[in-house]
Amino acid sequence: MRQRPWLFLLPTLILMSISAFIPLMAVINYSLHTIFAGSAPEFVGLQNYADVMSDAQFRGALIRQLTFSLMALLIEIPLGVAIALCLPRKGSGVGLSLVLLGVPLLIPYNVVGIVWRLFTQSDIGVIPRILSLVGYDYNVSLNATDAFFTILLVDVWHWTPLVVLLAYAGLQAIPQTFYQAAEVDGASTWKTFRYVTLPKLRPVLTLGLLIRFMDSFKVYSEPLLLTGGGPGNATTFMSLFVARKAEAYELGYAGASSIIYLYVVIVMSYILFQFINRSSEERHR
Amino acid sequence: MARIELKSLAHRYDSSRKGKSGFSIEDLNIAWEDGTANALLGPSGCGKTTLLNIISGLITPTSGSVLFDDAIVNDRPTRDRHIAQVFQFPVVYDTMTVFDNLAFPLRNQKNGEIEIESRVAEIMELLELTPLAKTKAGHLNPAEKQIVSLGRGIVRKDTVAVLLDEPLTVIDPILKLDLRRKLRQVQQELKLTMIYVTHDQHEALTFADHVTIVRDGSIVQSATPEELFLRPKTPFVGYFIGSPGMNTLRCESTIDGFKIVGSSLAIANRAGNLSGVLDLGIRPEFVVTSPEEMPGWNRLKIRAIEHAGAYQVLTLESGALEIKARVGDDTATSEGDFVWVDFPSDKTNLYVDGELAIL
Amino acid sequence: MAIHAENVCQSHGKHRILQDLSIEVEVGSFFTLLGPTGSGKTTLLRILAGIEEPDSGRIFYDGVDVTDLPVQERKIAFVYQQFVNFPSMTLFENIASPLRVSKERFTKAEIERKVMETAELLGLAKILNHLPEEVSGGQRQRCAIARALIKGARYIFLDEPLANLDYKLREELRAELKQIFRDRDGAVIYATPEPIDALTMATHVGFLHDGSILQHGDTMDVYRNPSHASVASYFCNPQMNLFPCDVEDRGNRCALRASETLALEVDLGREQLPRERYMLGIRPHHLFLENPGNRMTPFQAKVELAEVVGSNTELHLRHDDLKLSLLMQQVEQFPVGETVTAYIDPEHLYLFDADTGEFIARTRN
Repeated sequence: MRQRPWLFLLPTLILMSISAFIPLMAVINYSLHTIFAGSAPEFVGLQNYADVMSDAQFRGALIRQLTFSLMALLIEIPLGVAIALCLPRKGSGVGLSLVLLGVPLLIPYNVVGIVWRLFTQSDIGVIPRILSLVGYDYNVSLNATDAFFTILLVDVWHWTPLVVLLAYAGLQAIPQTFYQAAEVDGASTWKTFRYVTLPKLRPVLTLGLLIRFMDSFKVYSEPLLLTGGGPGNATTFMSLFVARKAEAYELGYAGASSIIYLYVVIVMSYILFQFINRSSEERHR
Repeated sequence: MARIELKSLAHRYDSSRKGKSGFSIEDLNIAWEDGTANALLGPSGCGKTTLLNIISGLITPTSGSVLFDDAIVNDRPTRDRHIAQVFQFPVVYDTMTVFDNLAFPLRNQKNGEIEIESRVAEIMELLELTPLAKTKAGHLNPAEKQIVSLGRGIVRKDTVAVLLDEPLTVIDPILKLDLRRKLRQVQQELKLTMIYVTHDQHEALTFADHVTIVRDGSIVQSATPEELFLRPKTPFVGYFIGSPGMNTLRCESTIDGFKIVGSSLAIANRAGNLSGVLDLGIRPEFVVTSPEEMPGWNRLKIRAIEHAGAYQVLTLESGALEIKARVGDDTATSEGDFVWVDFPSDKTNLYVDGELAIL
Repeated sequence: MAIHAENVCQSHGKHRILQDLSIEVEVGSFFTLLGPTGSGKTTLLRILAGIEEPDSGRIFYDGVDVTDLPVQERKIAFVYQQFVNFPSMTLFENIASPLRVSKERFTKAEIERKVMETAELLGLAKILNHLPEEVSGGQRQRCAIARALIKGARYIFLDEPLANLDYKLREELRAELKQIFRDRDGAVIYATPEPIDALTMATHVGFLHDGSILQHGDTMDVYRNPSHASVASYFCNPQMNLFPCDVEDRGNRCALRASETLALEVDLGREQLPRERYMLGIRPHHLFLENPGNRMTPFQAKVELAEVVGSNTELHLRHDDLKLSLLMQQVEQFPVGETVTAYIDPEHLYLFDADTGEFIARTRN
C-alpha cells in the first residue's frame, strides 16, 4: 500500500528518462569521442572539452550570449512592469488589451523570424525605410551592430508581453488595502510604488526573470532566420554555434560544447532559483 | 482625536452591481464621542465596512454628511482626513524595518528626523515594539504586524480616529489575547477615538465601551455591553448577545399578567391589557428554578442538560414550549425531572411588536 | 467494546505524531478526542476510521481486527471541518447520495422517506431543493452530517465539525448534536480542541497530549478528577489557573503560599503534603470579586483585560508575577489597569506535583 505513490509516478519517470536522460547520455558519450564520418569513434577523454574551452569562437559566442540575455532582461522586465502598470485594473477593456498583448506569444518562432525578416530587409522592409527618413543607413546583413540589436528588438517584441501578463497578474493579487494604507500615510506615488508595489511584485518578477533568462539563453530560430548568425559571427549565439558545429559533423566538439552550455544554463538558473526561494521564504515567515 | 458623527446618511449601491446580498443604508444617524472605544457589530455583509469606508473617505455616500468635531468633511479627500485604518489582513511595508514603518507617515509629512525619532520611540515603547525596532516588518508574525499597522496609524499627532476592520481575523488564538489587551490599553492611555468593526460579539463587547449593532444597513441598538445584555431592544439582540441567548416567549395579555402561548404557563405582572404582538424575553441566567414546589411558580420538565463547566444549561419543556435556564455547576439535576420555575419581573423584558416596551 | 486501538504508532516523515497509543470506546458512547492543536487528534481519528494506515498497532471494531480493512469496507461515516458536499446537487440529492451508491437497493419511496426523516432531524426539511452554495455555512454542515447519518454507519467520526461556524451556530448545533447522537447503537468519535464541546456533548472524553492519551473516561469524572495538571488546565472552560506554591506548616493544617501576600489555608495535613513545593490549580469560576460568608482568601490584583465571553466576563488578573483568570457569570466592564480585591475559594483547590504534574490532592471531595 505504501508504495502506491511510486507506482503512479512510474510512467512519468519512464517517459522522463526516455526523453531527457537517454539523449543526455548520448551527448555525453559523443563529447568524449572524436567522430569522423565513416570511421569508428575514437575515445579521447576530455580532449574535446579542452578544445572547446580554448576556442576563441566558443568564448565569443558565450560572451555574446550573456550580453544578449542580460540586455534582454534589463529591457523586458522594467518595460513589462511599466506596461502592466498602465493597463486598466478592471472594466471592459481589460480582456481585449490582454488578448492583444498576448498575440506575439501565440506566433510560432519560425513565423516570427520570417515576418521580421520582411520588416528588416534592406530593399523592401519597413524598418530600413523609417530609419532612412532620420538619416540612418540601416542594413541588417552588413552592419554587425544593426544585426545584434535587431535580434534583441525581436526578442523584446516577442517576449515582453509574457512579463506584462505575469506582472499584471501580480498586480491584481496585491490587496487594495495596501494602497489605502499608503494613501492614509500620505505616501507619494513614487514611494507607494517603491514600498508597496515593487516588494509585492518581487516573487512574480523573479519568476519572470528566471523564465526569460532560460528562454533567451536558448535563442535560436530568430537569428537563424533573420541573419543566419551574421554578419560575421555578430548574431551567432550559443544554440546556433552548437548547431553549426553539429551540422559540420564535429559531433565530439558539438557534444562537448553543448554540455558546457547546459552547465552554464543550470548554474545561472540555480543562482536565480536560490534568489526566488529566498524571497518566497521571506514572505512566508 | 475627534468626535465623529454621521448625519442622515444614506448609501445605495447602483443596481447594476451583481452581488446578491444587496443592502442599502437609509437615514442613518450616529455619533462616536471623542476618546471612546466603539464597536460596530453585525453579521458579514450588513454594511459595516461600507460605513468605515465612508468615514475614511474611500466611499462617497449617496447623501447625508460626515462630521469630524461638528465640521462637515464630505469633500475632504482621504489623505486629508487623517484617519488611521487597521485592516483584516495586516498591512505593513515588508521591506522596511519596524522603526521605518512607524516613521513613514511622519517622513511623508516632512517632519524633522530628531522629532521623528523621539515620537517613534515613544510609540514603540507604548506598543512594546522597542525590541523589534530593527526587524524587517516582513519577518514579523501577523499579530506583531497588526500592532505595527496600528502604530503607523497613531504615530501622527493629528490622527482623528482609528478604524479597525476585523483586525483579529488572521491572528493565532494564543496571540489574540495579548493583542486585545494592547488595543484596550493604548485606547485608554492615549484617549483614542476608535471604531472597531466585527461580526464577533465576543470581540465587540470585550473591546468597546459602546457597541452599535447593525443589521441590513440600519442600527438595531447602540448601547454599553451591560445594557445590550440586560435590556436588549429587540429579541434578535437578546438572542445574539449572550450564550445561550435570551428566551423569547410569545404571550397573551390577561387581566392579571400574561399567559404564554402554547402552554399553561402564566406570569403575574402589573402590566396587563396590552395590545399588539407580545413577547416576553428572559435570559437563561435569570430564570429561577427550584426542585421543590413553590406557590405561583410553573412546573416544567428537564428535557436536556448541557454541562459547561462553570454552569449547566437546562432545556426545560412544557407542551410545545421550550425554555433554557442556566444553573450553577453544583446544582444536582437529571434529565426527566420536574422543576418549578419563576421569571422575576425585574429581569424580564417585554416586547410589543418586536420592540422593547418601557414599563 | 465498540472500537479498540492497541499500541498505535504513527509518524509523518520525521514527525512522530502518535506513540504507543491505546484507547477503548464503548458501545453507545459519544467519545470526544480532546487536545490542543498539533496533539495528533486528526491523525488518530483518521487511523481509527481507516483513512490512514498506522505504522504499527492494531485497530479492532467489535473485537474484530480491521487494521487492514480498507475504509470502503468499514461501516463508517466521516464529517470534516470543511463543509464537504457535492456542489452541483441539491441538498436532497446530497443527503440521498449514500443510499444511491449503496450496495443495498433502495426504492424511490424508501429513499424519499429516509431523506425526509434525516432532514427533519437536522432542520433541513424546508430547504431540500436548494444547492449547497445557496444555504448558510451552518446548513451546509448540517447537510454533511445528514449524509453521514443516513448511511446508517455504525461508527461516525467527526473532525472539528463546528470549527468554521460562528459562535451562535456552534451553540445551537452543540445542543442539537447531543440529541441527535444520543442512544445510538455504535459510537460517535468527535475530535476537537474546544473543551466546551467535550463538556456539553460527550459521554466520554480522551485527552490527547503529545501523541498519547493522558487520561480517558466518563466526561464528568475526568472533569472533576483530572489525573494530571495538563488535563486539569486544558479541560476547563476557561483554562484552569495553575501556579506554584510553597507549603508552610501550621500544626495539623497547612498553608499554601503562592506569593508574599497570598497564602491559602487548607485542611490537608503535613503527612498528605510531604514535599515543599506543589503546583496549585483553581478553576476561574472559583475566583470571586465578592466574599459571601467571609470564608474566602482575599488578594490584590490588577485587571489586565476584561473579556466578555457569551454571558460571562473573564477577568485577566495579575497578582505579583502570577497571571490569574476569574470568571464572572455576568457581563461587566472594567478599565484596564484597575486594581481589585479578588477572593479564592479554598474549598476548590487542586494540588499537583510541581515536577511531574501528577494529581496529589484536592481540598473537597
